[in-house]
Amino acid sequence: MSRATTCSERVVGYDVVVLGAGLAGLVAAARAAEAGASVGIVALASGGLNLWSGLVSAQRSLFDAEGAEDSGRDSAGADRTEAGRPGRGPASGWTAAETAESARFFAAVTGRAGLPYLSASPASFTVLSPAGNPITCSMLPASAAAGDLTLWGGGQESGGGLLIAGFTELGDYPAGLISARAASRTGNRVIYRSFSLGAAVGRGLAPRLANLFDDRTWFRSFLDLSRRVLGPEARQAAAVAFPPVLGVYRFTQNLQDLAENLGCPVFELPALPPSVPGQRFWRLWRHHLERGGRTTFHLGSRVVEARVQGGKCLWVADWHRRYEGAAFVLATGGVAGGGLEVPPGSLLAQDDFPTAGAGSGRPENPREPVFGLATWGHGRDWLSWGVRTDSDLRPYPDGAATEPLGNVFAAGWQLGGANVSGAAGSIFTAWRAGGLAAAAAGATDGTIPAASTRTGERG
Amino acid sequence: MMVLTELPECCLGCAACEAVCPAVAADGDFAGPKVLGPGLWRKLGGGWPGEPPLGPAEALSLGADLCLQCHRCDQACPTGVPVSRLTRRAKVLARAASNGRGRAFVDRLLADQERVGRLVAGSTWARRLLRLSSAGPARRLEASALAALGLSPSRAWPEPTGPGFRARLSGILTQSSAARALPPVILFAGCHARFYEPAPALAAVKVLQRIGYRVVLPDQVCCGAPALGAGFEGQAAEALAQSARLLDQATRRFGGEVPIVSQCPSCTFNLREVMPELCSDVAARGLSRRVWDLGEFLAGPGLTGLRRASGKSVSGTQPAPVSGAQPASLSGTPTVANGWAYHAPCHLNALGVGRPFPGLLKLTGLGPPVETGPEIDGCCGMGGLSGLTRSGYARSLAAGARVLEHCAALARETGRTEETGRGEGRHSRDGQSGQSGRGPRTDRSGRDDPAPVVLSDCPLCRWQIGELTHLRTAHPVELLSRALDDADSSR
Repeated sequence: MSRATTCSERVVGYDVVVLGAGLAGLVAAARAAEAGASVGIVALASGGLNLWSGLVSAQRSLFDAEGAEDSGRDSAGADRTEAGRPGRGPASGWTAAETAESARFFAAVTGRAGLPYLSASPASFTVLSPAGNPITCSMLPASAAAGDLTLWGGGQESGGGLLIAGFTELGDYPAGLISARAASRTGNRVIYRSFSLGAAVGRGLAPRLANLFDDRTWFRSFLDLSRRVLGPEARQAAAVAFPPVLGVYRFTQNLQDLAENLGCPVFELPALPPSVPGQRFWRLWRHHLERGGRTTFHLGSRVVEARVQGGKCLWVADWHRRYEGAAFVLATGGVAGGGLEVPPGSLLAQDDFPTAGAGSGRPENPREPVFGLATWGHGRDWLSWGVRTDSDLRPYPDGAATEPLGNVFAAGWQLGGANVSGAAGSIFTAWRAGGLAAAAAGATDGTIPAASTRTGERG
Repeated sequence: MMVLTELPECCLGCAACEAVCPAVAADGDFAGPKVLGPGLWRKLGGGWPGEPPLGPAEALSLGADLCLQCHRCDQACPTGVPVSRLTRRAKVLARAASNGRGRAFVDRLLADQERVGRLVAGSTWARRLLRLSSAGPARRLEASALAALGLSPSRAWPEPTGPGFRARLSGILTQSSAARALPPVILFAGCHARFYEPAPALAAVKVLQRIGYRVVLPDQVCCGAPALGAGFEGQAAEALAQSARLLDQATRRFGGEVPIVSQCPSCTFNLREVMPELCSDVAARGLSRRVWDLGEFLAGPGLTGLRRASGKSVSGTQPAPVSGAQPASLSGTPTVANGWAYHAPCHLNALGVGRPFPGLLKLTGLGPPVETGPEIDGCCGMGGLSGLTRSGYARSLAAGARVLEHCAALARETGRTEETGRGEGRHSRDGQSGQSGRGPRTDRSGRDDPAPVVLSDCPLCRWQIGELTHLRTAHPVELLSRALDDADSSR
């Protein structure tokens, strides 16, 4: 990990360098790019996106104004006392207006990328989880929209009930279990029909079936098959649920065709990984960002060195290149966080959150990588650790520092340390970090407030 | 460097790698990267207590030979397992079991590109004579010859460059004493340019010279990628060692720090990523760090020179896009009057250099690309050379189905919206072509073709897309070269 091992001759420069290409990395990059910054994404891989169901659920709804008040924060933004978590994590400073703004931004960008989402702020959707339990979401892909419980009955006697379709070729999708669980948990009429896609298809994981659904010729034969198998019961049902494999690219068209074919609303349920909705997100957002011309993806890159000078990060380096930036977004937390392996204290300090989870101390070995896999198995739960930041998401370079780094911003539900799990925390912290980074890089075109501007005061 | 033997333990078994694998999408018999990569490796490492480790026959039965080595799995793994490197080991293992079988001959043939190059060159006159007679029987005879070799009869092999490649390239090298004072750059042209398609290498030389470099063309051999793709690791290591020796000799003449640039991303990947792994000597390690993808080089050290050459100020505000292009000065390069689309090859993706060429083309005044969907970012399915074999052909079509459909749709849409007459013209060309309905490669000089040009850095992506969609294809540096010529002539 000495400097001689990284390649200093190869230097690339961007206004904003985003470390990590998971949900937080892509959202931060989109925000910075839309603010006019040139963005370089430096990432090992696509983070947890291929595992993500696509649903934006929140244990405590971040996008919900009441959620903000519940957790002791002033939704007007006047009082940002960081109650409960002094100086730790971005959630100590958020306001309802900001979170709603981040949700609007996310919905707008993902719509332009060809993957429309519905946003329900301040209300929420209730859909079935991969195990058939009702869960609440603040945002969900349009392909899952017709699955909102209130639309297909939601316990009402008048509702026509739900028909869950399953494919025998898709082993990881227990339609019967989902159906039984959903019936008992929602008090609604839920039935299921599992059928074979044909002898030629063979068993496979969701991605292989999704590839099949992108084949127009094959899909036409599937329309006939589904009408034969599901037709009579579909006509009675309020909605028909399918596994989330209705195409990686053609899903919108396929859902529409299926709905017309069956004569009732259809939607996709979330399912176990590997997840097609998450894969759609990765492919469509990446294409959208690259097409925009401001964002460059450097994939396969593990950052192993960072140079900090005068309270600012000057560059980071992987084995091949040095990446200079006017500002940096750290979004390498996620599932395993292998994208950043600088020694602790050289760029940021690992921090345990006292309020969440059962974290029990740092790793003993001071040379262990930050947020690598080594962080697992130290008695920590997810969400029990992150980085120590100020309320503008800027990390402190080490545990004893009094000043945070001036041009580095942490994002993601892990690094950004939102006290809500999952996608909502990623989206909000990334939206904020991306905007703050673009502003710090001087690339703002006026649509992004300066780092000190409070969204609440503007409104 | 990463410690390969420890990393498989990080596998969560989540199958994110399978989600992005084009071979999984194409073939239900392929066990996939999760099993063949970390899964098999765990077993090979001793297996579970009391269980014997898996051997070559098992690796083959799991379909290890079907892995395309596109490296997409590496960029999907949430825990950083080097899946494709592990899968490569399974491929090498499976090779030991498949050597005695029917496919071994064609695999061995394709792995030795120097030999294939000679074979194609040697058959040139026979093929031309055959074509003098009626097209149908000639095509059928060629198809049966290909089939007899174990190659797909549906593929139309490109015309060979002939023995004059070095002479043609040397012919455009600037040799003046002023040029000798310029910083040197070694061009690694790659087998496809040397044997079949010299235009991208010629354009690379022209662009590098134009922006202020002295191009050096040392003797070169295959980078070893075809051998590695077929599981012949020893043969690949030999090719790389020989390449390293030749490149090292050339480098020494200039004091040791000469960049090595290739316009082929697969060559670049092999020289940069595989060479240090398979060739243990220090020279190879030092060399691999100086290997650049051409686009990466032009967007990095070459950018100042490129801006100057394209008539843009060095401080560089983004130029306004200028649509269309002037007549070609590099013969055979398609014009972009009807737009262009860019397909990023898997190996460029794996290099982590981004996509330099679309931005570079914009810099030199070429109009923006035509609107494409995310499908074009996928794998074209060729999978190195496996798509050229008889047994791999159908699978390569399935693996690249989304990219090929999308490109074909680009052709159809433009044909429809522009001039129907021309669209019909293309149809009648289709009607004449071989039994599968897929004609020979698109005529590169067909200037009035209304469809956009598909640009890709990789020769095999261009072959696959050009042959199966009838779109014209080119290496982006060919258009870059012409844009620079145009900038010069307009001055």
